[in-house]
Amino acid sequence: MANAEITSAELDNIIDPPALVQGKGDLATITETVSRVAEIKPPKAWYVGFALSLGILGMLGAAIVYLIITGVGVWGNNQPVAWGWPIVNFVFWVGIGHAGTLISAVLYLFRQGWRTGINRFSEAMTIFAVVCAGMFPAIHVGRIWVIYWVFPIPNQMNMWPQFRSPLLWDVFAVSTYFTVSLLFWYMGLVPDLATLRDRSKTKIRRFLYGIFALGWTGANRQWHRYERAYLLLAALATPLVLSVHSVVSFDFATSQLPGWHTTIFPPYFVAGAIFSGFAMVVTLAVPARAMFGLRDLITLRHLELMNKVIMATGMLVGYAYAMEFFMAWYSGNKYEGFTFVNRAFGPYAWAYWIMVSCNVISPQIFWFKKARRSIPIMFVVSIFVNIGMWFERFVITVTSLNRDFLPSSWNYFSPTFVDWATLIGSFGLFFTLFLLFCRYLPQVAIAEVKMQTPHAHSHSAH
Amino acid sequence: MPPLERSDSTRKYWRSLNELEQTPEFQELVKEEFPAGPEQEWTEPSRRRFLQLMGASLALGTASSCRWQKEYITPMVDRPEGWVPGSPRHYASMMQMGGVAQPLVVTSYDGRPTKVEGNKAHPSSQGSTSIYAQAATLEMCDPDRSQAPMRMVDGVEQESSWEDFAGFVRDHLRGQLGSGQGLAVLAPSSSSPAFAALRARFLETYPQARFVEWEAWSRIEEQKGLQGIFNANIRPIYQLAAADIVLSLDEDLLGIHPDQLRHARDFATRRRPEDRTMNRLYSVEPSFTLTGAAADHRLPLRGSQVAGLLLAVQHELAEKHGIGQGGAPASAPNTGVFAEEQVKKFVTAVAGDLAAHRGSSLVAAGPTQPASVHAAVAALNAALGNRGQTVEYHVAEGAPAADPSELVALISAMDGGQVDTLVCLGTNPVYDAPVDLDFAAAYAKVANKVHFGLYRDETAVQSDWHLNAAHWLESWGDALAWDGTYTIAQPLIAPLYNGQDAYGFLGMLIGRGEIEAQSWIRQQFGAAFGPDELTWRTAVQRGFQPGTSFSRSRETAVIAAAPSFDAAAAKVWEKGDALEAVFRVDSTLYDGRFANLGWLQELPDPMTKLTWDNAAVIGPATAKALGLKDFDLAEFTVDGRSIQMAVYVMPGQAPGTVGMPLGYGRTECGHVAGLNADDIDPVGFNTYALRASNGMAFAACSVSAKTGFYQLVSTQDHHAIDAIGLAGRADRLGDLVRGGSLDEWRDHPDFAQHQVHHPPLKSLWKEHEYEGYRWGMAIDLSTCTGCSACTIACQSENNIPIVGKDEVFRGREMNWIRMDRYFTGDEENPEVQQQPVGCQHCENAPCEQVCPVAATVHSSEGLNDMVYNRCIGTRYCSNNCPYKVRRFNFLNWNKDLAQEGAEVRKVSMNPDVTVRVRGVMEKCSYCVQRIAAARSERTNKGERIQDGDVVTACQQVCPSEAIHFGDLNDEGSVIRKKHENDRAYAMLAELNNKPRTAYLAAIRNPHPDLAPAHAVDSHSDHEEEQHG
Repeated sequence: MANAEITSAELDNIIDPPALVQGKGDLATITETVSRVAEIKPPKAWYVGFALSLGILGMLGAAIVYLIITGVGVWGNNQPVAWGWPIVNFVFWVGIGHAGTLISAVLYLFRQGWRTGINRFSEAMTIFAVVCAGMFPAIHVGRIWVIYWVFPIPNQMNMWPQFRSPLLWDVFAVSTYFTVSLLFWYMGLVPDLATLRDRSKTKIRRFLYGIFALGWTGANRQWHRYERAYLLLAALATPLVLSVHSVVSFDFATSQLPGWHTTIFPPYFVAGAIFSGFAMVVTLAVPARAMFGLRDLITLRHLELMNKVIMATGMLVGYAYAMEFFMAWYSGNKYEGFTFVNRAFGPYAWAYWIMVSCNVISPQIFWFKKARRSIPIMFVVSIFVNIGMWFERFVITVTSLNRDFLPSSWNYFSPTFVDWATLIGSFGLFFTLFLLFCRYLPQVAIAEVKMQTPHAHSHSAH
Repeated sequence: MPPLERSDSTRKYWRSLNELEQTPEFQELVKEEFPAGPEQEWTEPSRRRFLQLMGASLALGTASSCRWQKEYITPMVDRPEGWVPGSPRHYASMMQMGGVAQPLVVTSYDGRPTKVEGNKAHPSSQGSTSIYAQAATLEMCDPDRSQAPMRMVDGVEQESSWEDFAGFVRDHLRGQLGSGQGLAVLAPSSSSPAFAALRARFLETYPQARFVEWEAWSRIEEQKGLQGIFNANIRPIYQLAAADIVLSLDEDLLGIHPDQLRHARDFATRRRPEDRTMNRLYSVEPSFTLTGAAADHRLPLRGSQVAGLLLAVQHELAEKHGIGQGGAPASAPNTGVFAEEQVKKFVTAVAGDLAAHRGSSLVAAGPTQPASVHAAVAALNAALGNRGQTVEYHVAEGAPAADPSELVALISAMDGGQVDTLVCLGTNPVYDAPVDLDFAAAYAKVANKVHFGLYRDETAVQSDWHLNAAHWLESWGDALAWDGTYTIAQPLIAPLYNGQDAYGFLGMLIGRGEIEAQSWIRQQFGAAFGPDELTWRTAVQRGFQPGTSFSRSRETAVIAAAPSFDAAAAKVWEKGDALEAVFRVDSTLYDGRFANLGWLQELPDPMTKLTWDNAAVIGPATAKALGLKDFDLAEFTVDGRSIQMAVYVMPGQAPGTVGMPLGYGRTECGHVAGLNADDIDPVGFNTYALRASNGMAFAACSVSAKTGFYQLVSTQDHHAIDAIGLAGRADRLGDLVRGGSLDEWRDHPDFAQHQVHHPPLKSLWKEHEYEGYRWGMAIDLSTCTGCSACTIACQSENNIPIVGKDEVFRGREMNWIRMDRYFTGDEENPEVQQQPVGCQHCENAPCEQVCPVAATVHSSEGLNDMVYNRCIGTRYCSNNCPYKVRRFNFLNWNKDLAQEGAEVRKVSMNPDVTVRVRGVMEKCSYCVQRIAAARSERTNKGERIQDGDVVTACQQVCPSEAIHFGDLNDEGSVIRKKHENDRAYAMLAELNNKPRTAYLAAIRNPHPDLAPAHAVDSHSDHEEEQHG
């Protein structure tokens, strides 16, 4: 809004925002647009992308096999940096996994109609991100073959996990989040799976979609139950948006390491998670809507709204960065103070300033409407934010550990090629799952989008 | 074999059904199993042979073991009375290094020596040991040890046998050489009377033969200097406990001195201000030593300037205090460094202190200093009235220092073709002889080159014969301690590889019947101390014969003398001047003989903290002038000979000097230190390649510009620290390692407890109550010298693996107790504080709260237990540990145990401590296995564990008694007193961890004129706050 004067066109836009479904927008077209993707041969780009992702996934597999055979020493972790990239990656992916539930559940409860274009998409992203996230703590431990000891399974040793440990809270928080997200996603999929089943031309498709559609007929009573259940799940999932990342932040906040031991972490982590999650949705939606011809359903308006969220949460995160410094100074604790000076100006200053530039500075461009609505700009910024948020976790984890209380233990952390292979490989896992989803499942919630059409509004009681 | 023939015995011991039946086969077997005579050969360590030896050994303090003698073998089908399998036994023994015996006690489990301790009863040890003795069990079980006699046949090395060698001796030595013309033996220094007797017999057999002693690190200059004064082979014995003022002239009293343990203990008695008046230590040295680090004032000078400083002190004493006027120099050096204000002040302060403490001061000079310095020092001590008070000159009969000039003569004989057969009896001259003598070339001219040693080393591969030696833990031996006490070594295990001991080997060379070490030593012992069995047994049991120390020299006419000093040496070093290379045996590898011991390779140098390498150590200003920095490779040239060496910049290294530790760069040693045959690169740089016979301690050296990069690895300051890090470190150092001057302590004895102010600490939950025992540790920073023996003792006791250079570089070293070394003050002449840090066993342990599987838990006695079986390896505990004492098995560090040929390693493992698998966390356990052992012993008697029952490995080995351990609930215990000491503080107490290890603040006693006056601060306005 470089110009103070508002043109009449802009005024129109404010009073009557453009429809969330563009183009022809009748119900049949929507069904056709979305379902067709799962029925026809995918575009060449899909094959290229899928082959690439699968290759990278293979590399991840090899890295994990090597890791488990050899030991976690194949990574760069050391004393004092006992947690390195695996934990950074874990927090990074959990954060990405936030947007899905937020969009699905919270925006649903707040009756934000614009969510329908992107919710299926971001829910899928959530599930896959949490899969990636969940992998890291598992492969991160020294003895993966006894990792089931973290679950409260009755056993002959009469040994329970240690309930005071934030890592255990993590186990519960992340697994709950994954379960609820999966249920929520699947719930939403049921009517659309039935649509695909009904459109199926081969027996296998009909059989498989049929199984997962759970006999959905679209009867009134089913819709009634469905809507109730969806609402309940949304209500159930909403606190999880806050809880998961709060609990993840407890891993750090409840320890006594300077740089970790701060009360600001739970809200700061949640804001960061939403920030990174939305950025990832933009990163994925921009190519997907072009590739699969979904521009009418995932519209520029959707993207613009997401960019606004990115900007807002980016500033929240920036505030948290500033507040950490303030508290470090205000506390008068020399160890705390040193940690933050060291963060910004010590050996890892490069990481810190990458983080600040990507997370705080780059989203500021979204003050400009042109930028918010520019596909190239938003794509680049979303990538920046993804990078920045990975570095945020790196900065928190590694720079706090590398110089803690006793200077005799200070040491620098350098990643190994296995660290790189696991990080890049986790993207392989993510994109493999995501591309499979794009190929075989409706990327847009057909039933829900239909409710947002002008057609629906003119006839329904919504 | 009495037990077998005793058919009328009412009780029959039998070993097998065959035996019961007395079949002919069994009779044959019996004959084979107990062959008599010199042909006896055991192809592998057999249980029976071991039992024989065990039987022959006398247990220390266990009467039942006395029943076990060589002649009476009882099969172990029925357990002998008093023998509990798996319970340790302790045998007195001894290790000889450089001709000086270290009296030891070795712990043995079922015939396997697992741990070496000092011999409490002997004043040289008083229970502590050097790091070298600690590593002996590892050395014995080193798979790289030479395992069979080898012979070079037509340039090809072939496995040979002892019989073959006996044949060689018979045919060649006895047959051809006859009188020994052309026969020479090159042996290490030995003070063994039995060996000396054998040597006499050798020379009697071969009157023309040469017998030369060689040690790369010898105290010959000291001996020469004192010889000139006392007309005898003199050994100065220092009484540091009696010395108020100590001036050390490049003498590492607390480090590599042979009497280091007693020195450290005596020194420590004067460093606890509440016990006795404190002493004051001045140290003048080029390279940082432990003595320099412990000194109240250290003056870094070039080695060649030390004599000048002595002159200056002598002059000052004579002029100002009228002491030693007779032999005092007419003038003192006053140019160059001696014109510098700090040196002048130092001299004035030292002279003033020495004069004020006549009879209770001590001047000591190191083996690097020339004879004239030693003579002058002896004269000075006499003038100061110190003789008989703080220093005693003993006539070291039978224990001369090895004289390198003998080696020079031998090599020239070899060059001249006068040596037909050279026997290197446990020496490795190809590696460590002065480079200018070119031993290897001379050796090549010798027709029959025989090497006898533990390893197939550099000399062995160039020899025609290599005979494998038995380790001292496998053999009998005797030698004299530093004070002359006669000590005896007894074997703990049969030779693992059928090696021969030095006595037996020399006996073979003599070729007049087999010499069996035990009976030979017994015989010599009988001749010296009486033949009765009880005396011998008591001596073996005790490990030494009391009252056999050297006697004082009666020489009274001590001539005053001034050291010779070249005034040109006083010049202040400037860029362009030659550097002074300072050769010194390495603080961890000694002269290189221990190079294949991974524990010692990985043990950080106490001062540089480097592991797995030596480096050219240069002071900061000098390095700057030369344009060199850490990890730069540069070419160092001494007298036309050059080596490439990595540079390490070290505060406190004297300007213009470059410290060059010896002992690295082994090419034929083993899979740890370097082995050409297996393409294993040598570890570190061979500085012997620069050390010539005319510059054994110091030599002029030039250095090139940077020629490359070489990654040195240290356990502290892994990477160069930036300005922010330095500021942060400086900011907190005073809180972590607390210390002050004697005056500060007098004004505020509890100043250490007021260092950090924090709000009252509250606990989140109900804290543990400890009704039974409450274990705690105290570490006195005032007496700790940083020698790092605790680290090695802990490693030996707790089966701690080594990880190798790459992994240390990654920061994954495993030592449970590490030595943190901090510098403060001036970079060129810093003060050093050492701080041993192990698990602090916090009562509110942060590690325990974060473990998701409860693998680290609190015991009812306050131990922070680590349950390896339960650990899944999240490493969260390590993150939350403010002391970073937890160690993680990132990889399978014990992999080599499973490798072929390495099973022998398991022999020396402590059976009471689990060997950890990969993926689990570990850390100091306060030696919980020792607590358990004490508990079971006391519980059997229905008693409570007494103070002193539990001695941790680090505490036991500590020569300066800096570490104490015990039950804090026991009001009379030493540990309780230590914790209640005014100097006691808890590190990082403000975190409310409540550590169980207390540190006692380090007190220094600076000279008022040399130290800045301390500021008195007030603590009155902190009423609501707590201190920690």
